[in-house]
This record gives sequence, structure tokens and C-alpha cells, in this order.
Amino acid sequence: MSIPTLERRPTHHAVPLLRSEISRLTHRRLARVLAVILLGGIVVISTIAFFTHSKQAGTTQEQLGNNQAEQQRYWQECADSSPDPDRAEQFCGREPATLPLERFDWNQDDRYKAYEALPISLIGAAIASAGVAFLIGASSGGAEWSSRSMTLQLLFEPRRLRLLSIKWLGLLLSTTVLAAIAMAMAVGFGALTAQMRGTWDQQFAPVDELRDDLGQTMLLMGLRGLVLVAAAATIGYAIAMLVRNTGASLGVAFVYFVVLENGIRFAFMRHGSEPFMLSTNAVAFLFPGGLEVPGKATGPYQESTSVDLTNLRSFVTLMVYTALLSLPAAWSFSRRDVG
Amino acid sequence: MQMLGRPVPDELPAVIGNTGALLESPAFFPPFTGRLNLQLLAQASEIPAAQVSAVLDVVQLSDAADERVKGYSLGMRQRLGIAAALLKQPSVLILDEPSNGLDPAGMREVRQLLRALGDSGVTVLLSSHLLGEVQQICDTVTIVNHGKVVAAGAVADVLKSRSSGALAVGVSDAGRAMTVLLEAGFSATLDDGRIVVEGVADGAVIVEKLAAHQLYPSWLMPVQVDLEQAFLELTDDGGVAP
Repeated sequence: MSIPTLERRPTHHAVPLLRSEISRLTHRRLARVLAVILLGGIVVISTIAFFTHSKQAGTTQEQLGNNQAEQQRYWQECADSSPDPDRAEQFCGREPATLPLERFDWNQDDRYKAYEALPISLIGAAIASAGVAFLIGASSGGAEWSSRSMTLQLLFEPRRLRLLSIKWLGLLLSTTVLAAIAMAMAVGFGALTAQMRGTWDQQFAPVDELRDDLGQTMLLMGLRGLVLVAAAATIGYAIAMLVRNTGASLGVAFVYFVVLENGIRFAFMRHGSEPFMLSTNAVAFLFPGGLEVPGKATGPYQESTSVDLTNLRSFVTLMVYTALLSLPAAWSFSRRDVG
Repeated sequence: MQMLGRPVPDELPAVIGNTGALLESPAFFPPFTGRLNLQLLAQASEIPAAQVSAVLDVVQLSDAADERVKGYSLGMRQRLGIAAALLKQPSVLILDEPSNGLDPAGMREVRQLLRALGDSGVTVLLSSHLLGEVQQICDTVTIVNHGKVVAAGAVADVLKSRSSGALAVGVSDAGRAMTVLLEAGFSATLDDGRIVVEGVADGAVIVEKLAAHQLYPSWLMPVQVDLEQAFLELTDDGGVAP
């Protein structure tokens, strides 16, 4: 019995450890399943979008107006030539109704409008990626505690904070790469749909930033999406490190988003709580220029001031939430018994 | 406290590369195969992949290496834990209850493995409640009682220090033999069918005296304490494990 002699002693470099952590993460079945669901979902939704749009602009309001006027004119000619103009409906049928054109507007244009749909696709992909990143973060942290594999790893890298930092970095890299792929797919499929079954007409842009420079605005949205994904993964991992269990981490998230946030909204909306909600800030962070949300109430009913939740302000709020969870998690890991 | 000439835990990172450890039940990621668990540890420390196969061979786990750890028996997990500890080709191997949960065959395998590692020059530090195992495997032993060392040294020396020097004799007619020996002035007692004679340096005098009365011993051997007995005596039955 003999063990081959190692040519050089084991190292403690950060890069191999990081590579090993990414490998550990990407070998996890749940992470793979979540990645397939995310990317597969984007393919399915994009395919549906492709086949439910058409290159034809459909009937415009002007054409609809002309059609109505022409039908009216035909009917009038028929009525004028009828033997008894007072009983024209017996000869020409009922007089065509002239309806407000706005009623036809909502479904008359089947084109995929790039300036309107691409940002929505990007935001959707970013939010879905953030959800997946949270699940991957929470489940990988929880799995490490349930298997106690951390104790074995500490026998190879005993510096706890260094090990934790590299694990966290591996999680961030894995989830942001996945999110980047997801967002690129969503935008890529959207662009293809716009090219083949839609329009790049700027008039459909919902905000000025998109109209002025679609590419740059989308790029910045994408980068903010990656930051959101990194924050979601960090929060998921931090909760799992604190409660040391995947199920409990997901429970904490559920209680926060479903019970606590809505409870706070219900109880403190009038006192201006909305700008401090995590989910509100996440959405405001993604939207170009941010969002206007209700602030403090100014009257007995629905009157309230509005708060301009800019991208910067929502970024700071997101980082505060992330730090409030991740710093205690790191402290706890460095001090508590890991056995 | 120093380890490999360095103060620990302050300089633990400096010595951890030369130290392998198995602390009670090994903690592997159950959905991964045994090989993948070791590969990830090896990758993190830039240990060549060939070392993974080598240590799996050493613990005789190569055949099951590509099965998921969640399907492993406790003994297989224990052997995988030892393989992980050996990955770094350590000069010091710290094992806490390595036979935990093993069946008799597995325990014997682990004993043979540890003995072989010790013979190959690895310093094996074994912590165990199985004192028979310690007695069989270890060269030296330290018995700790309530945090204090109550005995330390070569296993044989510790046992010898607790030995009375008495001889045990097996005779078919133990009753008559007792009478003969007592009449001859020996300090003899009957213990569970055998006669224990104290204060005799040479067993030949006992054999001679009995044979003179047509009593022929079927066996004669020095009374030895085992490590468990020594431990109980040293710790007054209330101590902690060595």
C-alpha cells in the first residue's frame, strides 16, 4: 500500500479554490434544473411571442376611419336610391354604426414593437434570473450545512472568511453568467422577432431614454439586472448561512415577500413605507430612470406625495438590505461552531 | 501548542497542507460521487487528479468511486473520509473515531490501513474510545482524564506499569493445586477457574511444585492488563477517552 508522492505540496491559492467552488456549484442537480427551467422558459416564451406577432401593421386608426366613412357613404347612397327613404333599412340593412376609433386600437397592430417589447423582455429575464439566483444561493448554502461538507473543506482551507468569500464569489460568478446568458437570449430572440415579425419604430418607446438610445439604455438595464442578480444570490446565500437550512431560507423569503412586505404596505403605506420595500426597489432599480412610487399620505383618502425612486436610490437601498443580511452571516460563520 | 514546529491555531494555514484529518463521521456532499467529492477537494488545493485515484485505491474504494455517496454504507463513507485525509499525502494524520459505525471486517480493514500508514512513516494521531483498537494499532498512547494527562508513553510501557507481575496457571484439578501451592507458601488465589500466583519471578518453580504432586499445568502465562483495564484503573472508571 502506498500513496504516490506529490511533486509539490497542496496550495492555498484563491483561483483553484474558486474554480473548485464553481465546479461544485455547477455539478449540483438543483442548480442545473433551475438553469434549464430559466433558459427553457425564455425559449418557450420567445417562441410564443414569435408566432403570435405578425409583420403586418394591421389596420391603422386612419384606415379604420376611412373604412367606416366608406361604409357610411355606401349605405347613404343605397338609402338615397331606395324607393322609400324613410324605410331605407328594409332595403339597405341597418345603418353602419360609427364607433370611437380608440376602441379598435388595442388589438389592431400585431407587430412586435422592439422599442416597447425588448426592455420588457430584458426586465422579465432579469427578475426571473434574480429569482433563480436567490434559489441557487439559498439551496447551495443550505446543502453545505445539511451535508456538513463545510467542515471537510475547512480542513483544506482553514481561514473561514477566505473560504466564505471565495464561495460567495463563485456563487456570484455562476449566477451572473447564467443571468447574462438568460438576458442575452431574451433580447436576442426579441430582436429576431422584431426583425422578422415586428418593427423597430421608435414611436413605440415607452420612455425617452429608450427612444434616444435603445442600445445604451438596454445595456445599462442589463448591467443593473446583473447587479440585482448578484444581490439576490447574496441574500439567498446569506439567509442560508444564518439559518443553516435551505427550507428555512425559502420560508424566510416567503414570509418576507408575502407576509411582511404586504403587512407593512397595509399598515404603513400612508406613512411612506413603499420606497423602502425590497421588491419595489428591485423593480425601480431595473426601470430606466427608476419609478415614481407613493410617499406619505397628504389627505384622508388616496392622496399622497410621490417619491422619485431613482436607479441610484434603489441601488443604495438594495445594497443596504444585502449588507444587513450578509455581514451577520459572515460574522456568524467566522465565529460559530461549524460541526 | 505546536504542530510540525509551528504554533497553532495561529499558523494553521502553514501546516494544514501537511495535515490530514478525519473528524468523527466524514462530511461529504451526498448527491456527488465519491470520486467527485475528492476531485473537488483536490482541485481546490491543486492536487493532481491522479492522487484521487491513488487514495481511492489505498482505501479499496475504487470500485464504488463513481457511485453517489448517499448510497454508501457508513464504512464506505468512513473509508472515503480517510481517503480525503490522505489526499494531501500528509505527514500527520489526525483521526477521531475512525472505526465509528464500521462492521468487524471494516474495523479490521481500517486497523490494517492505519498500521500500514504508520509503518510507511506517517504520524497517525488516533482518538478512540475503542481501547482494544488503540492497543492493537498504536505505538504510543496518552490517557487523558478530565483534561489532564494521566499516562503517556509506549503502549507496552503503560501496560507494564499497570501489570502486577502475577502468573496465571491452568490446571485440571484447580482445588487440589490451590492447596498444594498455599501449603508451599505461594500467594495464590482462585480466579474464574484459574489460579493466580503473585510474587513469583519464574514460573518454573510453580510447575515443579505442582508436578511433584502429579498435577500438570495445561498452561501458564503472566497476568497482563489490557489497555481498557489500565484506563479504568487510571481514570477510576470515570475518565474520558484516551
